Amino acid sequence: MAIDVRARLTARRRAARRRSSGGGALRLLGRGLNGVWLFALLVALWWVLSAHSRSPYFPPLHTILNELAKVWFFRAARVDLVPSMIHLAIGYVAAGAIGIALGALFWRVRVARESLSPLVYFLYVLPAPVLLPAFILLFGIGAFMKVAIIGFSALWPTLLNAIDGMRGVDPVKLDTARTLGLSPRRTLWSVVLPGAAPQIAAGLRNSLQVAILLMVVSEMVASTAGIGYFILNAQQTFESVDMWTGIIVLGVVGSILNLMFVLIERVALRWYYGERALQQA
Amino acid sequence: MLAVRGLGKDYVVGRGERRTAVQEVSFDVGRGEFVCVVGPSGAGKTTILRCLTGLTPPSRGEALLDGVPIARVSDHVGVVFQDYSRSLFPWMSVASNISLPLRVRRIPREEQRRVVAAVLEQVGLGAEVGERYPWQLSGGMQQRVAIARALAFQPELLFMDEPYASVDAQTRAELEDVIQEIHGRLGVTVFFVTHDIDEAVYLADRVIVLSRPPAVVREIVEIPLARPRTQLETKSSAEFGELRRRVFELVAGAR
Amino acid sequence: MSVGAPLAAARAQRLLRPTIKVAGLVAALVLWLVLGAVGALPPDAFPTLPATARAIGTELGGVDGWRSIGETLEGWALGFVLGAGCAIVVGVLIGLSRFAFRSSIPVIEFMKTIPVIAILPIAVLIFGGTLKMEYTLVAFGVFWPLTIQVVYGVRSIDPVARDTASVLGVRGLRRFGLIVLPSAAPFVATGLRIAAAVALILAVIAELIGGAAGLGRDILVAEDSGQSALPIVYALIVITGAVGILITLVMTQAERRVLRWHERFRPVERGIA
Repeated sequence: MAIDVRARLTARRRAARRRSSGGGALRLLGRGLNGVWLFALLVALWWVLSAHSRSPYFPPLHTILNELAKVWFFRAARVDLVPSMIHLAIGYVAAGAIGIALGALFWRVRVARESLSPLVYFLYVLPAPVLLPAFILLFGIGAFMKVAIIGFSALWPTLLNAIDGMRGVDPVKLDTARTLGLSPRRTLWSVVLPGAAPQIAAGLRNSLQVAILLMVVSEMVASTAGIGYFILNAQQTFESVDMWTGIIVLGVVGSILNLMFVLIERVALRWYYGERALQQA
Repeated sequence: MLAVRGLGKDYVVGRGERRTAVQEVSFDVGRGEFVCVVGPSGAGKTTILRCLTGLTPPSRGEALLDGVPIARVSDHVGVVFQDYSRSLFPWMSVASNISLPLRVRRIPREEQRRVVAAVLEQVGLGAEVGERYPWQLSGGMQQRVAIARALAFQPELLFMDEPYASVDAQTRAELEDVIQEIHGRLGVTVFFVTHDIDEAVYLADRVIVLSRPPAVVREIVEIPLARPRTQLETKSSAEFGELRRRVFELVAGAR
Repeated sequence: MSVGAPLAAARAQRLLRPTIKVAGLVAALVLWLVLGAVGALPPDAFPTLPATARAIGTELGGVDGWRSIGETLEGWALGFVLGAGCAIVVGVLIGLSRFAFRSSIPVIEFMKTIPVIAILPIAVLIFGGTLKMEYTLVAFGVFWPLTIQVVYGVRSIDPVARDTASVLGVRGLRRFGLIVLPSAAPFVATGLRIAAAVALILAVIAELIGGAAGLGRDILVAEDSGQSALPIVYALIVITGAVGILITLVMTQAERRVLRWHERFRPVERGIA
C-alpha cells in the first residue's frame, strides 16, 4: 500500500491556502482582537484583584492610575522625564553615530581593528553598570556624567555589529563594485554600509536597550532628578503609589521607544524585509 | 584586443597545500569577437576570467588589454557574474543599479535616464522595470538587469562568468539570444565562460577548450556558423551537430 | 618564481593576527603604565596600573574577593536557571498552539520592552537587599526575551519538512523530538547566550543599587571609601569583566556544540546583536 505523498501534500497546501485567504476586513479585525484580548484581560485582572488591596507593595490599580494622572501630567514629566529623555537622546545618538563611523574605520584599517579588538571585546562583555562608580569619580554626578556613561556603554554593541556586518558583506557585491568602477570610498557608502545595514540595525537596537538601562541606573545611583531617581526615591520613602506610577511610566516610555525603533527600521530597511518576505514565500 | 601569454594561477589551500588551478594558457581575443571558454568542471575557467578582469592577480604569465598589462579592473570592461541575485544591489531600484556606473563617471542626470531606458530596451525589458527592485523580478529578468548594468557605460569588452547557469532552460535560450543580439548590434567583444557545450557552440566565433586542472588550452575550435543564429534552425543543423560533437569529444577526452 | 613564496605568505598571515591582538593589548597596558608614571592620571579618579594590579592581587588573594565573585555567580546562576527554565517550558507550550501564539505574543513583546530595572524597586521593597531579590530580578529579565526566542524557534520549522512529516504520519512526541526540537535548537541556543549576558548585568545592578551581596555592592562600597580604595574600584571592574568573559566563552562554546550537532542548521541569524 503506497501512500501518494505528493497528492496528500498538495491537498494540505490547498487546504492551508483556503484557510488563510478570504474574509478580508473581518479577518483583520479578528486578528487584531486576538492580539489584544489577553492584554486587556490581564489589566482587568490586575484592576480587580488589587481593588481592595491594603498591601504596601501592591496598591489598588485605580489609585495608581489616578496618582499617575495627577503627578505625571505635567509636573513630574517636565522635571523628571524630559531631562532623562534628553540625556538618553544625546548619549544614544552620539553612540550610534560614533559606533558606525568607528566601525567603518576599523573595517578599512585592519591593524586598528585587530589591535584594539581585545579591548573592545572586553568593554562589550563588561556589564556596563559596573563602570558607574568609576564614571562618578571621573565626572562627578552632573548631566555630563550621565550622557557620558550612556554614550560609552551604548557604543560597543553598535560598533561590534557594524564591524561584523561590514565584514560579512557578500564578496560578490564587492567584486561587482570593483567591476563597476567604484572607488573605495564610494564602495563604502553605496555597497558596504547598506549591505551591513540589517546587522547595524540589530546593533543599534541592542544599544538602545543598554542606553535606557544606563539612563535609569545612573539616575538611581547619582542624581536628584530623572525618572530613575523618582522611582528609587519613592521606594526608599515607602511612597508605594508614586513608585508604581514611575514604573508604569518607565515601562510605557520603554515600549514606545522600542516601537519607534522598530517602525523606523521597517521603513529604512524596506528593501531587506521585502527581499526576505519573497525568499520565504 | 586581449592577448594572453602563459597565464597561470596557483592557490594556497588549507594548511599551506599549493594547488595549481591554471597551469599555463595562451590565446588571443580579437576586437568584436565572441569567444567562449569551456572545460571540465573545476578546470579553472572562472579563475582565468577573474585574472583577465583584473579582480585577481595571476601567479605567472601576462595578460594585455590593448597592449596594456592588466593590473586592475579597467574602466572599459564590463562583467556579468553567475549569481545575479547576489550581484545586484537589493537596496537600490533597478534603475539605480543600472545608473550606478554612470553616477561614478559623473554623467549628468538627464543622460543617465536616457541611457537606463536605452539599455533596458536592449536587454528586452520595458522602461517601467526601472522602478522595481531586483528581488521583485524573476531570475531571467534579474540577469537581464545585470547585463544591462554591465553595458550601461558602453564597455568595449564584456566578461560573462557562466551567466546562465542558474536559470531554467527556457530562460537560458531567451538570454542566449539577448546576448547574441547585443553582440551583433553593439559590436562589443564578449568573453563568455560556460560549462554548457551547446551554448558555447551556439554563441561563439571561437571556442577555447580547456584541459583538466592544472589547465592548459587543449584546442581552439573555430565556429564558422552563419549569423544571425537561431535556436531552432541553427541548433538543428548538421554543421552545428558536427561542431558540437567536436567540442564534446575534446571536453570529454580531457576528463 | 619560487614555490615557497605563497606558502610562506599564508603561514605568516595566520600568525600575524593573534600577534597584532596581543601587541595591541600590551600597548594599551604600557600606555596606562606610562600615563600613571608621569602623573597624567587624575589621582582621585583613575589609579595607576601597578596600584590596580596590586588591588587585583589583594582581591583574589584573600577570601573576600572570591566570596563576592561566588555571590554574584550564585545570583546569576539561580536567576538564569529559573528564568530560562520557565521560558523554555512556557515558550514551547505557546509555540505549539497557534491560538496561544497569536494571543500572547503582543503581551510578551510588550513585557520584553519594558526596562527590567523598573522592577528593581519593587523587588527591593518586597525582598530587601538579598539573594532572593537578586535572582528574582535576574529571572524576570531573562524570561521575556528568551520566551520569545523559544516561541519563534518552535515555530520556525521549514514548512516542507513539517508537511512531509504530517503526510508520513509522524506525530506527537516523535514529531516533537525529530522535527520541532532541531529547528528550535539554534534559536534557543542564541537566546540562552544572550540571556546569560543579560543575567550578569541584572545581577550586578541588583548588587549595585539593590544592595545584594556581591561584586556590584563591593564596587559601590569601595567608591564611597575614598581615595585609598580607588584601585579596588578598578580592580573590581576588571574582575567583573573577567567573569563576563568567562560566562560568554562558556556559553559560546556550548552554543557551538549544539549547532555543530545539528549540522550548522542556521536560520536567518544575525552575528552578534
